[in-house]
Amino acid sequence: MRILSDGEVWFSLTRAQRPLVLAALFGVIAWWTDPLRNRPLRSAVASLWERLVVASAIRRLGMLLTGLLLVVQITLWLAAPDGLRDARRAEPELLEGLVSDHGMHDHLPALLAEITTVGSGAPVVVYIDGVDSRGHVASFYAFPRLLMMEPKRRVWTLREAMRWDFEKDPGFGPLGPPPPRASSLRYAARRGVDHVAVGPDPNVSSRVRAAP
Amino acid sequence: MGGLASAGLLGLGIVGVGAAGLGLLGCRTSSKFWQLGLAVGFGFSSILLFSLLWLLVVGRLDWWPLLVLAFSGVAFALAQLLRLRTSAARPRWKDPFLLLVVLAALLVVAGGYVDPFAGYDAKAIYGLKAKALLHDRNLGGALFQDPEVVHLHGDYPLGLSVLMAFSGWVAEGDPEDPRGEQPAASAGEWVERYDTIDPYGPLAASWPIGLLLLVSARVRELARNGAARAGLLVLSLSPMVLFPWVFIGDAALAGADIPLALVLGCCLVAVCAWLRGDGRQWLVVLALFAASALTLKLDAVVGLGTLAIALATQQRRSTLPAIGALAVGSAVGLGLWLGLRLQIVGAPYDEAYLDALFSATPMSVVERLPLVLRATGTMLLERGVGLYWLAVFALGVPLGWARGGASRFLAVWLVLFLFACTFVFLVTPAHAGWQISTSLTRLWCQVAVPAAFLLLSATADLWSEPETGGASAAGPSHRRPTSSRTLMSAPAVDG
Repeated sequence: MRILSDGEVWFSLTRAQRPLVLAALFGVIAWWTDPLRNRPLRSAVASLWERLVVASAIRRLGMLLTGLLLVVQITLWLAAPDGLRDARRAEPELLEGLVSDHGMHDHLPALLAEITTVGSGAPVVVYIDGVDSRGHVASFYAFPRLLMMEPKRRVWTLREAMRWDFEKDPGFGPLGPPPPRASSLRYAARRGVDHVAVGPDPNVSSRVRAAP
Repeated sequence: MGGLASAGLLGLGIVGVGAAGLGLLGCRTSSKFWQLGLAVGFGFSSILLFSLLWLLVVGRLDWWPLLVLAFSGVAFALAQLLRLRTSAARPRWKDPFLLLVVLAALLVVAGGYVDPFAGYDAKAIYGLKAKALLHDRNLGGALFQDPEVVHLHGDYPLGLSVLMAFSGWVAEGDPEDPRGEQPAASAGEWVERYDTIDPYGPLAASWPIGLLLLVSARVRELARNGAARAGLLVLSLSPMVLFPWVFIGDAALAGADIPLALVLGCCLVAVCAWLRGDGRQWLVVLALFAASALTLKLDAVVGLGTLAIALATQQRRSTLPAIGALAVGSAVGLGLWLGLRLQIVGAPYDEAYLDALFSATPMSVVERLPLVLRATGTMLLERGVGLYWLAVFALGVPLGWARGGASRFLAVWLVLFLFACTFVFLVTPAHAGWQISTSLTRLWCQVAVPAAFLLLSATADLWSEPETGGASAAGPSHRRPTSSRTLMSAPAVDG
């Protein structure tokens, strides 16, 4: 039998027996704390109903809106334990996490495989033949490798990804052609580091060693 | 001592520093909820401002002054807790409202434990910089000086990174070089190296708890019985603010935006206390909070700027001293960051986008308006906060305006803030859809405290017993207390 962690005990309890557990919990709390101060529930509800009935139409609309909001908020608060269970930190496995549904990052496992062949700890300039949705996702996942991307390429790819992912924005200026691979190579050479290129086309993948 | 216990002790120390600082300045409030919520904000603000000042003046981070401060805070907090045990004002644990607040706080802590702050922002904005600070103790190390390694993200000054580094040192001592041996032993280790500093996780839960305490304090002022208080608390505080990572999967919100929401809330409380005539010491506190807000995130300019304008619209009394305190505090916060930024060679590279900020034209703004409105509505509905903000703006703002005094001031602040945020989206050099998607929820979250206060006042007004029918035999439910002076309904403001 697997031993549950302390967090899992709470979540599994609330998940399996949630209505019963919550009802019992609230019952005990209500009995212990007496939130209505010995006032019968029926009279409290009647008082609220009376206020709703005598209110003006606009005021009644406001009261109903706050009532609706209260119901929604209670639902959300009650969903918090379940939400916490589902949101359990699950840093995706490095390679899995990079392959998204739309295939935009399909090339990144190849990139990471490629850069593992570069010398230990050495920085690398990467060239992704396509769009990297954050412009520097490779850097995010591979910081220890000190991945770099030519700044103009990084800006271009980020802006291009914005155009792909969202409705057309009339205020978003035109985007020029992507900086060519040659400029990325020059950038790597200037910094004296290896250059790794990857893309959907296997022929694009390559590595250029830094000049000695 | 385990990392978790150390971080917990540090949290106690920080709250203790806040409580002691407020006590020394003579800033006292009408309830322990106010005092504790403010102490969280004041403690964090004092520690991070002190650290950044030390880093700027001395040129390196030394932990011993912070440790002395934190230990003093722990001693003060323990002394207060011991005193409370025998005090007549000790907490009544049978109070259902108190129980609810404790449960909500425990949920926040559980959230931080089960799902710590992670993701892109955790690494690129906070973790790497914090680990570089922890390792090098200054900004001159190889990590900070290489713009390709540290993406400075200049809109996030080093406030949280410094706190993270300090908590890491307290819990785990001196760190290894975050770059580590290459290649890493596993993919997980690879990612972990640049992630946030883990002991900061439990400490981070203090920010939303502080926010919870401020809203609870206001709830206690508005309602007397436990059921009414519980209802008002649940209604006015969206779980989206306390658990953004749970409901909208936006861990980034938990980074600087919730701390900023607390600090802006503290600014509001300080303003109200000063307007009530509680003394000029509140202006000092206000300046400190403003400075701290700007070391958390430069977006604070929007919240602080609109707060200053909202103050300027108040006619009952000259609000110039409060506006001055906000200006001085903002200048100190910005000055600290600019001074530190000069030491980082990569900073200008990181902020090259600023040029584009001014490329917007009146025509582009007009053309963008439909997209911005559509994207804003979609985003609110998608993230489940549409009804909440609808209630704030459709109920809270008009009723607050009609009510006058502090409520009108809050309504003006929120409306100005809404316009300022929308203006940012209209002129952004980035794609407006992307900008709204990434920042709308977190920008609005920054005014969680005034929004909650406004919604609370509106709800209490709507459901209060009619004047003529107030002799209900059932007794008060939502009736507002009239005998005591409350912080938010200050005579100087409310008239």
